[in-house]
Amino acid sequence: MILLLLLVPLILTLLVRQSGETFQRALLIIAPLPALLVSLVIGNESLNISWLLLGLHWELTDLRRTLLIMTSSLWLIAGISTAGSLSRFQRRARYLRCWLLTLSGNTLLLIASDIMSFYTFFALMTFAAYGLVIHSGSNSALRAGKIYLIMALIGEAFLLSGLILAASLSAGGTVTPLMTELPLLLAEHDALLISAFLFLGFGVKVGVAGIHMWLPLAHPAAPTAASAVLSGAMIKTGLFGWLTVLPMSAYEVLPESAISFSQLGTVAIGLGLLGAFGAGVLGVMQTKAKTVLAYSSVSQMGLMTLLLGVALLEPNLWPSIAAVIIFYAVHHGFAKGVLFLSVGISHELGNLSVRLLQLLSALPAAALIGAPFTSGMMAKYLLKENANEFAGWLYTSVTLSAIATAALMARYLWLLGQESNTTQQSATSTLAAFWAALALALGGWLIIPTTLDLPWSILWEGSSLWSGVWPIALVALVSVALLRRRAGSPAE
Amino acid sequence: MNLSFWMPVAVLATSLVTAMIIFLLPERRHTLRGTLNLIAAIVKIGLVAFMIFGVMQQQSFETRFALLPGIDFVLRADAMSMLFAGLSSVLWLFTTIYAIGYLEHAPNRSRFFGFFSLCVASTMGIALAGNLFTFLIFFEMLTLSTYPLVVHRGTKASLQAGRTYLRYTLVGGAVLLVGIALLHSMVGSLDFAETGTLRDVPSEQHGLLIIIFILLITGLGVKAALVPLHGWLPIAMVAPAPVSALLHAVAVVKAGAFGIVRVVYNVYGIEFSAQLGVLIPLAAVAAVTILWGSFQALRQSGLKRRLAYSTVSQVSYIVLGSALFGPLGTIGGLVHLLHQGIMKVTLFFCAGNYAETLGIHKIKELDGAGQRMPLTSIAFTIGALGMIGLPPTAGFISKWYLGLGALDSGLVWVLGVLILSSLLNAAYFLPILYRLWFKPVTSAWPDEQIKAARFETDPWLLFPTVATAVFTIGTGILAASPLSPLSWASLIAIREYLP
Amino acid sequence: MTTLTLIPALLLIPLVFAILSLLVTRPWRNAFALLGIALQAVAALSLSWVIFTEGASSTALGNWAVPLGILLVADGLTVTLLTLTAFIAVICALYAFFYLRAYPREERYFWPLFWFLLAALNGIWLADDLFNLYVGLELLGLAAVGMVALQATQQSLAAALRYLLAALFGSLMYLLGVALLYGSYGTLAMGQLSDLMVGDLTTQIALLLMTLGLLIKTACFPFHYWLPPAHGGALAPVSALLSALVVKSSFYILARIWLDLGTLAVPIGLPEVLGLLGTCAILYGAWRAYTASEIKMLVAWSTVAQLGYLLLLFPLALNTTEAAAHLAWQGTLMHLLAHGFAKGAMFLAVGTLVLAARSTQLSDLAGISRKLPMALFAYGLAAVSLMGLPPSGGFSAKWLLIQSALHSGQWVWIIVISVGSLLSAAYLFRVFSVSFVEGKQRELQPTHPMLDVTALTLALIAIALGFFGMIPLSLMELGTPLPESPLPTGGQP
Repeated sequence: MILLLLLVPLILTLLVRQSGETFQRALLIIAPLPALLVSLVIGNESLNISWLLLGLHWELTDLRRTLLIMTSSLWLIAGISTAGSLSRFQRRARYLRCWLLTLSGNTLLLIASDIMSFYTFFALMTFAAYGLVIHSGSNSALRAGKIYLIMALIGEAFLLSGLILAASLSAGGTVTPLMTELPLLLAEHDALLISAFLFLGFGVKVGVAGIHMWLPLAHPAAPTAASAVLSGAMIKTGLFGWLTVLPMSAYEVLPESAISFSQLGTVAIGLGLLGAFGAGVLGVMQTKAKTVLAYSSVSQMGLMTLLLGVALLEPNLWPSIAAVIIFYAVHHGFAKGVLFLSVGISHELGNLSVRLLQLLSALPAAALIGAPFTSGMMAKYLLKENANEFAGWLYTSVTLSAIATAALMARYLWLLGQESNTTQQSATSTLAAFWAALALALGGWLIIPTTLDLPWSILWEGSSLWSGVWPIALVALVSVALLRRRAGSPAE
Repeated sequence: MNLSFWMPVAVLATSLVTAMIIFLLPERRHTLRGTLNLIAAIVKIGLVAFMIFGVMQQQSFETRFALLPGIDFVLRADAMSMLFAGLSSVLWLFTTIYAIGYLEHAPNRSRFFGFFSLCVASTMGIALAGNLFTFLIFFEMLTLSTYPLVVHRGTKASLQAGRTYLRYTLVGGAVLLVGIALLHSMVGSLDFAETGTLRDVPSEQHGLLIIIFILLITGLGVKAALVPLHGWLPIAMVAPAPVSALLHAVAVVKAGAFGIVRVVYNVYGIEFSAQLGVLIPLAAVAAVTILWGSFQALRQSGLKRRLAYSTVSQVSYIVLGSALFGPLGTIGGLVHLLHQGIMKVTLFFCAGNYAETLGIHKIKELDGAGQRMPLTSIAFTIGALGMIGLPPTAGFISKWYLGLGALDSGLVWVLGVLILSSLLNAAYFLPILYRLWFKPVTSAWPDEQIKAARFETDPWLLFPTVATAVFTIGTGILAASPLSPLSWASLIAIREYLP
Repeated sequence: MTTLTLIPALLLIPLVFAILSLLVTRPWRNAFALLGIALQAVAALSLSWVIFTEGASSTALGNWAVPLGILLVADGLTVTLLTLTAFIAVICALYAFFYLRAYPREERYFWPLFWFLLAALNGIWLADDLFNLYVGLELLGLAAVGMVALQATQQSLAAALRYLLAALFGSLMYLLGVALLYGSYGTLAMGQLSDLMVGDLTTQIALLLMTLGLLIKTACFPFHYWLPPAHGGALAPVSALLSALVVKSSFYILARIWLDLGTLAVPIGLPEVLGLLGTCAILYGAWRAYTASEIKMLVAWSTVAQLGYLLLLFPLALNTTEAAAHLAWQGTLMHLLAHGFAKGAMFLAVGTLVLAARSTQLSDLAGISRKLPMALFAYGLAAVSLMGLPPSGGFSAKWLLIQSALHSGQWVWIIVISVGSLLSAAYLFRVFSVSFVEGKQRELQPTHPMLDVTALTLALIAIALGFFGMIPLSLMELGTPLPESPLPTGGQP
């Protein structure tokens, strides 16, 4: 029953009023707390209410808890950040309602296990986030919102078809299966097409290459704190969906069924590579820091897609890959969160030094690339281990992708300096949120509970240290060279 | 002549007698008329609830007497009829409340409410009819009692709409009559029965049965607004909002759909229909209607017209459900019978609220109305999301079961139709929601009639709107509970298939 | 014993009151009229009750045996028609009471004519020989013509004259036929004739002549030309009586002649020709009603159309199966009853509307639904029955006719019936369309509420026939010379 606490933000939505800024600030901060507390405090728990929806079933498992902690803490930080600048928002009440609805959907879907409540919260998050995307009301935001919505609807259509198709595989007739029963159903029936539908349905949210185009438009269009949760937390729900419904987890029982899904796995690897590198190429050509970050998300999620492909092809790798994806999701969520927040700070620097901000932002950026002693180093190592198990060339590809990431980060840091604006001063709570996010990005991975036994020893291994350092060094050299040339030609 | 005999009669009488008294009341006795209407509506709900309870306990309620040689007049409460009667009685109450608020200060209220009650009496008759002949009686009565409501405003447009309405429905009625007469001459007058009644007809007569099926469906399809018989529906939109709500959610359109359900399940029997091969063509017609209605809705600029085309599309979900062989499809169709009613009534109430309060009739005038009328707009949003089929609204439940039913019966393309229709629904509802919530308020409303005071509009208008919106969500959230429409529909569905 | 007094009483009461009303002055005339109506109603209903409980009966006036004496036969069918007549006459009389206050001059002659009309009608229903039927027809025709001429305007006199000519010509033809039959068989009693009749040429010619005469009197297409001006121009209660009852009487004779006597002598194709005439009447009448600009003419043309349905009896009942014939007969009778009540109600209701609006133009009734809801409601209920929509007597009739057509496999009549009722909807709804128009309205004259009550009563009876159709249907089975009912009732579970 304690899981019902997660409904609190939904109820808080009803309390939002036009006036009362203090109360509104409080709402922003209170709303994510129940989810955070529940995920931190209680153990594995499930909730069954047979007369609600089509039979409500919620559960908190190790995998879900990890994501829930990351998600709710990111929402909390973003909430604190927003609280500081709330007075500058037009139509606050509307924004706040959308915020709370998106938050509810995002956190609740992570514990939802029956199809209907999962789909409910997934849709709630998707549609409420529209309000965040278009909040500024500018033409570009409206256009971004439109494309976001269209793609989201297409995604929902794939998802719903996939879910209905998968549910119909269950022989029970009137009984609707749980989300967690879908992998076995898919595997038993060798349902490649249905799996492909589900892959695409969640793929829109993940930003798989080809159906990613909404992402670089929508994530930057939202207010900064919202971008942070969009890119940090909400994008992960697609990953979560994949892990929950796609047939890999049934391979343990039916290893031979993997053959049926090999085409999907191959396609996923292909799309993943395309995303990882393609987004890098497109990203460095962007002129706004937030857009670069959004492309970086596409690139990072490309790596996840690739890993999913491997899992689809190789039954025996699944258990470790599942854990790695979760770990990677947490790592990326925290890092991306702070990177977005620092864009916000740079727009309202006041008397802060832009160099300091760049320096501080360089830390999570480095983590994203996989610099030594960061979450990224661990995440990349685990990722590459699994890629290597599958094929040598994939290992190489993943290694090379670090260059793309490094290039994106370099571009980002440079743009951060370009966009900096000292006319306004960030609010205290916005700054506090930034610091908290930074701390989480650097240290959060050390304390967050995961299902992995992290191979701590690699932190001191030369080879892994080197593989973390050289992409940064390479890109740094190139960047410096580029900057020199630029400085050397004053005619420009 | 006991309780069992009189209960169905009493249910009819609650609105029939009310209608008669209202006709006799002088025009200016507004309070008395309103009170009478509300009391009758509540009494009817009580009676229907009593019968539902009885039906659950396997009790039977039947009124039967000979009408003509070989033909009985039968009113009977079975599970299926209670599904429709329950919907009608509940929505009647809300629509009455709404109409009282809507027609405040309007002329001709005596006439309006009289026919309004008559219309509900016909609907109850349709729900309770125990054979096709009795069904036909009330089906035609419905046509006649809705005509004065359609032309109520007395303008040129509404009179024209009335003419069109009659042209369609009377011809439909004639076709239906011929179908029923043919069937009667073949097998006599048969009561509606679970699993159907025509299984034992010798196979050389199956060809004729198919022709009769086509006649029946055509006749009923006019009211159910199956494409291409739907032409009257968008035109009939000139009627006052409560009438549109009633027409679209409870009475006319629903009566047609309910008739189709009756024919498929309780006359032919779903298994026999499948054997005759009439289900797939029926599904195809329904699918065409669903898509066509949605495409047309997309093109409309008037709010009510868009809703009207949406009805064309949505009602065919019911027909589609009855054309899908298998309990899941049956559940989907039956449950949508209720769900569509609740959702559509909400949307029409909202449209009426906008029109009455702010004078908004066009979609483009809705900009920013969400700020001025938040509760109405929330209700509209809920209704629209329901139509799109998003959870946790009632619409999702319908769509989920229809989808499963489609796969269950092996018609995978139907799933494609459902998904495409949802996308189209989104395409014509989401822009409205966008205007409501995200567009800035225009400088002035077209014709602001009711100033915002304690409530955003007349509470008589607001309360039913909010109530049905709550139902829309409630039936979705509580779908698995024992008293939900879904459970009731499942109960019926199981009985319609041979063991 | 009771029947012995009741049957003649039905003839004597109207005749006595006819004379009385000629003799006395106004206040007494009204009092007598009320008394007479009451007596007449009691007598008709008691006879129905007796027949219903004891079975058919006959009485010979003056105790002379057939063929010399006059035999009056009261069987189920007769009683049904007597009851119909009593109901409609009583209600029309009540209506006339209040209606004629606006027409004091006409009131004076109305009552004697009314009583003569009633006597003639009762005579026709009860008579069992062809000559008595002729006498009844003549008396009826004269009374009817007189009533049409009541207003003594140029228009009404012209209509009456036309009517008179048609009636006389029709009677003449009928009489010719009767003479021929008498020459061949030496008797005019129905019972004896039906035993003797053979299908020779003389008989056929005689029957054809009588048919022609009766078709003229029934105003069947193409002999309908006299009806619309006569019915459409007369006073409301007169129109009601004429449309509801008078034209039915000649049809009744026609039907009895063919189904009772002439079954053996039917020339090939005659039933179909009659059916075709009926179809033309349905279509043409509907068209004229649809284009009529005066409301009373609309209703009058509707009568022409509705009479067409009656003629469908012949193709459905002659030379077909017993079941089909039985259904056709039931359907036709039901139609006769339903149309009687409904058309009576409609003329009364329309009369009220015209009285209030002081105009017969349809367009002058704009927005009248607000002022005269009850009259319009009565019109509406009557229209339901005329359109053949359920629940109503008209619908039951239509249903039975369709069933009969299905039994004999004559699809074409189903189409005719269906199209006909759609067409009737088309013209009947014109009145509603106009009545709902909002806008400037005419000043209306107040009308007595009894006018509405009477019209509404008739209309409600027409509707109730839809629910209680079994009563007249089972009543008329008693002692009828018609085919017994081998009706397949289908499997009731």
